[in-house]
Amino acid sequence: MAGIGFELRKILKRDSLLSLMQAYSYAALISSGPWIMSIVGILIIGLMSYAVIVPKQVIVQFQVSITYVISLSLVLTGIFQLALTRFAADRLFEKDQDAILPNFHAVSFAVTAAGGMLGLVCAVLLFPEQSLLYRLLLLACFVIMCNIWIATIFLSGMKQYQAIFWIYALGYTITVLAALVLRGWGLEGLMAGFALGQAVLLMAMMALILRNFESDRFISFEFFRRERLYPSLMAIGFLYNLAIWIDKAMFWFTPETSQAIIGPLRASVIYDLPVFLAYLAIIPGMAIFLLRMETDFVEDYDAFYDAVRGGASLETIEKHRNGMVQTVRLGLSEIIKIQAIATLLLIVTGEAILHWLGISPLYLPLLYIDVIAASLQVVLLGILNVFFYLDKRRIVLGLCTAFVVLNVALTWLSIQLGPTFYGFGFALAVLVVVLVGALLLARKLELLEYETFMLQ
Amino acid sequence: MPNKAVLAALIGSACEAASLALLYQHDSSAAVVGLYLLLHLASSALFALTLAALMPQRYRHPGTWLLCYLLVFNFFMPLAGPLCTALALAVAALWPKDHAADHFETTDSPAFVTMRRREGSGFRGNRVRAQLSNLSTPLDERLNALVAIQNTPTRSSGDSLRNLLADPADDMRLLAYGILDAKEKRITQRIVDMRAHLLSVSDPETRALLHQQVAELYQELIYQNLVQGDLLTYSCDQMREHARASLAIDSDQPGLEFMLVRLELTSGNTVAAAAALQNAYEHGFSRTRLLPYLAELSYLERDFEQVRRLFIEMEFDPSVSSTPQLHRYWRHGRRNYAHRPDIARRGPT
Amino acid sequence: MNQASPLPPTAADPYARRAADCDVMLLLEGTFPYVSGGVSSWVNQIIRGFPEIRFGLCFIGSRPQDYGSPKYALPDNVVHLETHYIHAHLAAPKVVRSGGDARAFGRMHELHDMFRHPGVDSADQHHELTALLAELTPLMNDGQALDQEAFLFSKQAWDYLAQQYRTFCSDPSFVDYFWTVRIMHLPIWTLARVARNMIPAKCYHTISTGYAGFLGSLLKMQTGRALLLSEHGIYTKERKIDLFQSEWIRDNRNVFEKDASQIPYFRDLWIRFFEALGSLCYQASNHIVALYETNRLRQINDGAPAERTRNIPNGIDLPRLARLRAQRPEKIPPVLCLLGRVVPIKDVKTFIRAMRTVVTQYPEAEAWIAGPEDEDRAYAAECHAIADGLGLTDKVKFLGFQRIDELMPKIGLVVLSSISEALPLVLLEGFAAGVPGLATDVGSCRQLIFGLSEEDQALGAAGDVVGIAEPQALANAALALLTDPDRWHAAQAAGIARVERYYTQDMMFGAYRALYQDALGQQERAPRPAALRCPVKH
Repeated sequence: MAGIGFELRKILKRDSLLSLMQAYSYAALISSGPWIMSIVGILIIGLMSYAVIVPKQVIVQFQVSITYVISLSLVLTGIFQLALTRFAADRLFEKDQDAILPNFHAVSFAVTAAGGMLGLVCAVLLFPEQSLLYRLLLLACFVIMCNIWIATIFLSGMKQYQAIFWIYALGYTITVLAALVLRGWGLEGLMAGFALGQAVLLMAMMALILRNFESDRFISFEFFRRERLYPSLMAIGFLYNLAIWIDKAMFWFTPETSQAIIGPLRASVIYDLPVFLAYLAIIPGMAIFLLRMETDFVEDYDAFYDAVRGGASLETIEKHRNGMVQTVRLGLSEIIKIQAIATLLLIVTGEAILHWLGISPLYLPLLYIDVIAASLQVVLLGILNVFFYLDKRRIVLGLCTAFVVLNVALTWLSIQLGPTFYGFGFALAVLVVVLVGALLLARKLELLEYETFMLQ
Repeated sequence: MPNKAVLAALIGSACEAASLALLYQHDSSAAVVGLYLLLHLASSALFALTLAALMPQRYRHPGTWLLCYLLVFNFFMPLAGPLCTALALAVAALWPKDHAADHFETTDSPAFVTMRRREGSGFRGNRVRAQLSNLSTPLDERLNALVAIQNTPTRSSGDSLRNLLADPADDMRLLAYGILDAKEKRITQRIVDMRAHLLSVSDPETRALLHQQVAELYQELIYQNLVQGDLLTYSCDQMREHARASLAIDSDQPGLEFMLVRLELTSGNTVAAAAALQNAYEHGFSRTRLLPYLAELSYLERDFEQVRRLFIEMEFDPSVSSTPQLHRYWRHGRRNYAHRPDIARRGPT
Repeated sequence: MNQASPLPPTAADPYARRAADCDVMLLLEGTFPYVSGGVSSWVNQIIRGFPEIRFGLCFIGSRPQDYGSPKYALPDNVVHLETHYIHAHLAAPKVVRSGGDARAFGRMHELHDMFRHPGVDSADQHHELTALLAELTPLMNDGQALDQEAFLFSKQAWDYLAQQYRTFCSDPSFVDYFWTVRIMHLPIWTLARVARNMIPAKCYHTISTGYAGFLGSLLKMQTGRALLLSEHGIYTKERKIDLFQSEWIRDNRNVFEKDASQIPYFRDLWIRFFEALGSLCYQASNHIVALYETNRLRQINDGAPAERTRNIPNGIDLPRLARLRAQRPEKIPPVLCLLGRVVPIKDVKTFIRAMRTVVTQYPEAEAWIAGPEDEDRAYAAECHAIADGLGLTDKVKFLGFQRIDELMPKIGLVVLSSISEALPLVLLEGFAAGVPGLATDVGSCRQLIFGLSEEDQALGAAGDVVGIAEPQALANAALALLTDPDRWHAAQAAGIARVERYYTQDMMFGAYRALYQDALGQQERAPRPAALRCPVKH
């Protein structure tokens, strides 16, 4: 089992404090690198253009446009992300490598076509006051983003984490540079710069995929055939991404909490910024997630199934099952612990940080609750990951549906209840789903051998 | 690059430039939008054709879907689309992946597994033999012992098994018979198959090989003590016949000659054995390995002086194994013959 | 398997027979009418010998593709034929999760304990066993606490399996243990279903123990009707020999763990399973019939209550065969004939090798091998090759299947060189037709040739008996008989006398008629109620 786990274990084997820190930093970079870079990239563009651009409104328009592009593309491609990764994993298992690239292209085709049509219709009809160039760039960014997500999820499913990191680094460096160079042309310039950088990112990913996966045909639609399709995974992907963004969308489209920014796009000044800052605070939690879930747990999981299939004794099988339980317990508790520390640190130093960044301290309470919510989201990710390995798709579907429903209901409630309760909707929804998920997980792991053998 | 592709690229670029020019008009009326889209569509299609022509051969099919993909890609990502595709293909072509690393996988070192073991158990060869021959041991234990020797080489267990064929217990007889039969069947099945194959093949090289293999299988039967009496004679004859057939086709097979040597010596055919020894030596078989057989041949011919000389010669070569008692007897304790090693080699005739 | 109106055999399919009930239900595992052989012929004989009895046939096979078309025509008094395959799984059962009934599984644990530790007092043990079985059998119906779904999917079943593995299994592989146990037990539920849906019969007659015998036990428990058992070969013994030689049983012990004198655990498991099935059948049967004394003693050894056992040897059609005596020539024909399938168990090779010696000393002698060669073609090919190799191509004739009416008058000696036999009818048929027999000392051959009781032995030797796989001895005995007319005629007379006294068809039919009358006449007894006894062992 080459790849990230192997590398991490190599570092950890040196068994010193330095190597421990090294391993965690490496895991942090790999797990959080990409999306940190995108958030930070956008913020930097905004910060550095502040002095130059007139009117200042343009920067906010740019940031809001990109936020919408990212969120909508995530939700749309969410339908295909998990299903494609599963498809590729199945084909690898069957030693049918030739089928992977063509079907990747098929999904890319579907996403481009669907997203493109949707985007074209919206761009033409929904933005009457904006220039044609802006609308075109918006469409282009949207479609490019969709393709980038598909490629990213695919490559991370193929465990090519390092490649993703470096490509994102390259891509966002160019994005920032291009945007800064073109900012003279106002909104269109910023958008063009962003589009250029993302296009480079996409090109690099496509090159990597074409290089690593050979095939005898370019495109093939086996993915969409009934027997190869996993409808539950498609629903899960869609619902999970939806759940994460739906509370923000609710804040954006409630008149009291939001403002119109450009065209039909609205933003919520009070709600958006703390949320994005909070996501920066979960880097340590994600590092641990990668370290424990993707390496230790996978090892124990593989050992368990090898023992089952390979004719080991019941004692050995149980030993590995206990190992799995141990790792999950350890991983989840470590995530909670480290995020608790991060939250505490933030509570102590939050005001100073906001002051240094030039942001109003009124955001502080929302920031605290958002950090807690984001931390719980990492725990949820861990739990869902284990369920994916155990192939309990129905349970995950149930949890995601519950997540969406709870998020909508509780966010609406929090909006009704007033500003002191903003953010609690999302936090409570995640908490409930995490608790339910943890209970279900404990039970499933206990009955694991029974289910593996008897309930084939 | 075919001319059509170049043409398509040029026209495509022109259309795209025109459509971009439209964008700078700052006019957002429906007509302009429509015109833009049309031009852009045209250029996308043309770029798609160009790119399809540039694709590596293996990606050129399925043709229609490829064009659709490229069209959609180019249309919804103006400028970025065709550039991305072209550059990605270029990079993938110029820096292909080295697949050598794929052939290696990392594994963990194996762990020693301990398993419950009952006290006092263990395979003791002598105990098994004793159990088998002692008729008053309980039947179940005897059956277990019989199963235990199932996997030992027939050469050593064959006699015990044959004795058990006359055992008073029905179970023992059946099982012993079954074991012997299975061992014999394994070889005879292959003999039957190979002989059938021989009938259908006419190429001399293959025939030589098949004859050799059949001869070796018969040797196996004989060596494993699976045939007795008439069947033994029969098997010897078959082995001789097939070995000779193979040698007739390809005479350069010292290994086969050696097989014949052993066969003839066991059967007592001195003339044939001498001929086979001579052939083996002429085709490159080392004389030192033939020494014991030469000695046996001389013994059969009652030429005892020669036997003595050969044994002395064997002394000087430790790679030829033989029992020390034989050496002592034949050399009368002397290490050399008339105080010097015997250089008057008679040779293999 | 509907119990609707009786379906008479039509011209289109003479094997489609259905009835609403029958007198004697025969339970046949792997024999009549789909497999040819000695046992099937015997079943055919019995059915035709009682034309007034309405027989039902329940054939149990492994999988449909293992059997071709039926090898025998069905007599008219067979009113019902049903076939069941215990290893064919028509559809993977749908997974239904359940916790399982703890109490029912507890009782099942006790049943398995009883099998593992047979008590000293077997009669006592037998009551407990039957009582427990009577309690548990209705629970195996679909929807009850111990049905097939509970076995396959319930948590209780899992817990019990894991516990048994930990306590007893010496093979390291759990997954093999798991699947072995499953595959072993699944036919039991299939058979329970068959028993439940079976048409009513006045009595049941099973021709072997094993799965058919188990079905018989279930039917006996369910209906209370009498159960008869006629064993030709001992099922358990045959399975044991198969299992010992089998290659398909995995042994996962590695070099350090393996103790070759301890048989692999799974082999042991299968053997004990078949032994348990056999023991159940013995306990449940009202009458247990063996072919000859050695087998009867073995049955008793395997747990059959001695007072219920008896010997009823096979019988031959004396009048028909006696007529063949008249067709015999004056001189003794110098022909040795082996009547039987050309298969390794008949050891045709030893016979051919013996012929080498016989022909050398008695050049007019010939060997005829009268039996089908298609069961083991490789072996038949070998035999041909050996005959050719020994220069006996003209002397050893492979005749294929022959009718004995045409064959008997032409031969001088019936030879049986088998490694294993039970009660070979060919010897008896030879005796009746005036041909002495030369056999290896297996099964009841000694009893047939030299006689069993003192009275029997006084009739004389009807031939000779030699050791197994001894071609020289076989040749010498054959020569002694063929070249000495006085001895030959004495053997002929002894054979005729013995067959007429002890082994006629009429005698066999008479014995079975008595058995059937007893069984059919028994009133239906209510199923034995569960013994009111404290389940805790004191």
